[in-house]
Formats: sequence, structure tokens, C-alpha cells
Amino acid sequence: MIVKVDVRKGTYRDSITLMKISNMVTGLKEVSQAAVVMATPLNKQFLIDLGFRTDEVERAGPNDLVIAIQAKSEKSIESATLEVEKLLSARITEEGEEIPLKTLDSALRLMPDTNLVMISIPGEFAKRQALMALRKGLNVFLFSSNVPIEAELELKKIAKEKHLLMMGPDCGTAIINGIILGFGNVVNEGPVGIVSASGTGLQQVSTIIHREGLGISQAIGTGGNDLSGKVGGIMMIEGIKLLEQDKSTKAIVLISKPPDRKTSERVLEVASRCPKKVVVNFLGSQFDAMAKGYVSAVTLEDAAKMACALIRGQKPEKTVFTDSRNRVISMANSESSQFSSAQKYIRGLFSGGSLCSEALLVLSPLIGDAFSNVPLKPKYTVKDLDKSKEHTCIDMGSEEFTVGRPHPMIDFTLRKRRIAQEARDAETAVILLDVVLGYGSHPDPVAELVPTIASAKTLAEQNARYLSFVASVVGTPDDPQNLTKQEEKLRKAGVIVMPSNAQAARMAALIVARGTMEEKLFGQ
Amino acid sequence: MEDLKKQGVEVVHTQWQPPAEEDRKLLELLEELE
Repeated sequence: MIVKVDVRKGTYRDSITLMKISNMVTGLKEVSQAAVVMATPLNKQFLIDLGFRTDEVERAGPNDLVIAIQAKSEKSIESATLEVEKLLSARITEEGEEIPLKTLDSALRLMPDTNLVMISIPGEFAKRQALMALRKGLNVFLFSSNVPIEAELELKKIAKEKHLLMMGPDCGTAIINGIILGFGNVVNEGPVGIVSASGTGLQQVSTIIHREGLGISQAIGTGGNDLSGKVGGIMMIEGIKLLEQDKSTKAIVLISKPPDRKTSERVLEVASRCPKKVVVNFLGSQFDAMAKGYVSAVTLEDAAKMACALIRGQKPEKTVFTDSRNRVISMANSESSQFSSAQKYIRGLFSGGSLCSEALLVLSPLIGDAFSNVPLKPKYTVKDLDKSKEHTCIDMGSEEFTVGRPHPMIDFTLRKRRIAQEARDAETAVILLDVVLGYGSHPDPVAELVPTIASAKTLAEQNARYLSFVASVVGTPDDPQNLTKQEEKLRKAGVIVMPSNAQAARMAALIVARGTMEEKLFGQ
Repeated sequence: MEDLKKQGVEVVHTQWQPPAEEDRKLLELLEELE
């Protein structure tokens, strides 16, 4: 085998393009391994794990492109390298014309009616690009993370003055005038507007609203830091005002991970004055809110169903399980009866940050606090990101896992590796997963997961254990991946599939409690 | 980009590269000029 490593300094390509190139080149004849990645610390470790430990890799920096190929002969290396060059420089339109667009100005000359710019570049350069777009009167969807908070504040103040949307930084999801931006699901158009500082939170709520027979007017993403003390909820407040004016919107759902207290108060003050029905899901916050003119929901599922109930003139109710008590208990007992005595822990591996946070919140009163990289309390921070401790829920979409790598909703490499690792741990009882469908996500996530799930279950069986898998699938039957088919494939693989992330977390708790939790859970 | 096109959205892609070839001093000068 021959190895060749080539480092291109200061050559940037986005992680999705590079993942596609890596996959295509790995599939070439006589190529045993290929990786085309930006040299971030995580990717450098990945290269070393693949056997590409060289001085060039060690010296490469996060803005350098590494092309690493292992093949049978020099000739194969040469062909593979040519293929990489071709794919890196491909800028061909459907008509076959090459358009060398490198700047916003050149793009605007080609398409002067542009009204939105989507930006996905390293965070240290993102403010400059976003500022250019805002100054030209364009709305911005900024996917980039690692943008300084002061830069975010400046961008949002300018956007507010100019009555523009500044969605992000760290915004992965929006639905504007029926168009899905970034990650997002095919949902009905309808009377519910959403303003969300959480991408997968937006996806969970919008897909449940679709399932309930209603739909979405607009879903405005604000980026994950909008409700921080520094930014002060600027875009969430502007979003509420926009939806207040929007004739199609009859109810508004606000979603965020735990917000800064003062910012939360500012936003809720605006929500309370809104003449439309408002449902608030600030994960981890509880308010006595009915008297103040908005409804508080503890889970994303409750937020979605409460919005629908309010529009229909019904009383908003909480959901524990949608299935009957007997059926739920029967499923749980069927799983737990097969455990060995050592098996006792839940290992949650999430692609959605809000889904991970929600699972932690649901689990806490049932089984106690779980360790996490996004824990409810600082003392439950995992010391080693790669090693679970007791009950553990990991947000694998967080920055530590995604700098220079495609998001785990697109690339399942790290999550599959972690499933296999948890399966080797004799104390793992339940592996809890989210699967997120829609535009931007992997074309067949369950096909990626099923072989790993099967191997994990087999390994457990060979060691006189039983590994239980519980999952929820965020999506709709109209998504490219088709929710119904994905859920069916998971069930065939022996996974307990629940209708929401919150119900999946409760089911995991019920299973691991081995019959001791029924009153506690159904009494909620 | 493909997902936007599937939804019938008119879209163009720019092949962005780090400005000033990442030379920090040049980048600061550029930002001052802008």
C-alpha cells in the first residue's frame, strides 16, 4: 500500500463538499482509504486514526485542506489525485457553463433580485460576509458557528435597524415563505408561526404540528445565542413582531434552550403584549404563565400540541405517552426482562442539541441527572467527551464534534463509532437515539444506523446481555426520506420507536427502571 | 444548494476563500478600509 498526503495551505472548502469528495474517491478502484478534510484538531485525529500520521498532517492548521490517499500503486494514487482535483474545482452549472463566482458582488451581478444570503464559512470570517450582505439590504441566514458574540450583537443591531432578518450565527433551520433553509422538514403551510433559537427544536415542533393536521406560516431561526444576556433576544423579539403582523399566523411558538433570565423576561414581556396566542417552550424554564397571556410548555411536543389546541379553541393538555399505559408498560417490560444484572445505564447519543437537552430534562425527575457535554448542572459535565459515565446523554451536534466535519445529521461516522463503543460496555442497558429527517439531512439515515444497531445487539447477545434501542424520528411522510418508511425500518431492526423525543426519553427511563417507575411516570 | 433548487428557488453559489490569503495584518487593513 502506498500513502500520499498533500496539504493545501489556506484552501477552504465546506465540510459537506469534502465529505462527498472523500466518499467518491474512497470508492475508486484500488483506493483503500481516502480523506479530503480541513485540518481541524478533530479531523487531524481522524486522519491519524485512519493511518495518515505524517509531519504534514501534524503541521497543518484548521484552514488548510488535507488530501490523504492510500492505494495499491503509484498509478492509482495519481488517478485518485486527479479525480480529487477535478471534484475540488468543479463549478459547472446545469447548462455546462463554468461560472467562476468568488464574491457576493459577482453573485449579485448575476442575480440582482437576490433577497437572502446563506453563509456557511469558518466563524472567524463570517461577520465580514454577513455585514456585506446586510449593508446591501439583504436578509442573512448564517449557518457558521464560532462567531464572536460581540459580532453577533453588531450584526443583529444593524439588521433590526434595516428591518432585515439576521438568522444566526449558528442557525441551522428556518422555513420562510414555504422555503426550507438549511435543515428542515416538508410540512403543511398553516396558521402556526415559530421563532426558534433551536434548530432541532424547530424541526420537532413543526413536524408534530404537521402530524396534528395543522401547518406552519413562517419558522424564523434566530441562532443558538440569541437569548444570551449579551444579545438580549433581539431576533426573537423582531420575529414575534413580524409574526404579529403576518395575516397567516394565528398562534406563535417560541423555542429556546435555557435562556438568560433578564433576556427571558424581556422576550416574555413582548410575548404577553402580543394579541395572538403564544406558546413558550424555553427548555428548563417553568412559568406560571396563563395569567400573563401566554402558555408555557415543558416539552417541544407539548408546545406543538398546545399551539394546535389553542387554534382549535381546545384546552391545552400535556402528553406523557400517546400509547395506552398497558401497551407502554408491556413494551418496557419486554425489553428490561432480557437485561443482565450489570446493565443499568441509558446512553443517549443525539444529533440535535435541543433534543439532547430535552431528554436530560425529561430524565432528571425520573432517574436523576445524566452526565453530558450540555449538562443541566455543571457537576454533571462529562470529563472525557469520548467516554460515558453512568447515565450519559451526548449532544454530538455540538461544536466539539462538528468543527471541520459535517453535522451528525449528515455524517453518521462518529455516532456509529460511539454506538459500537457503548455496546462494548457491560453496563449499557438502553441506547437512546434521535433520527432527524428532512432537507439537509442524510438521504437514508436509518440505512446508516441499522447495520451498526444489528452488530451492537449481536455483540451484546454474544456476551449474555441484551441491548435495548429506543429512538424517535423527527420528520414527516412528505420528507425525502419518508418518516413512515424510516420508522418501519427501525422497528424491523428491533428498535422501540416513539412518536416524540420526550416520549422516547420517558420510555428509556421506564425500561431501565425495570418496573419500578410506573406510578412516578404515569402520575406526572 | 441542491435542496434549494429542488424547491424551485433561484440560487447561485460563490466559491468563497479566506480573504487576504489569511495574512492577519492584511486582513486587519482590509477591515479598516471597509
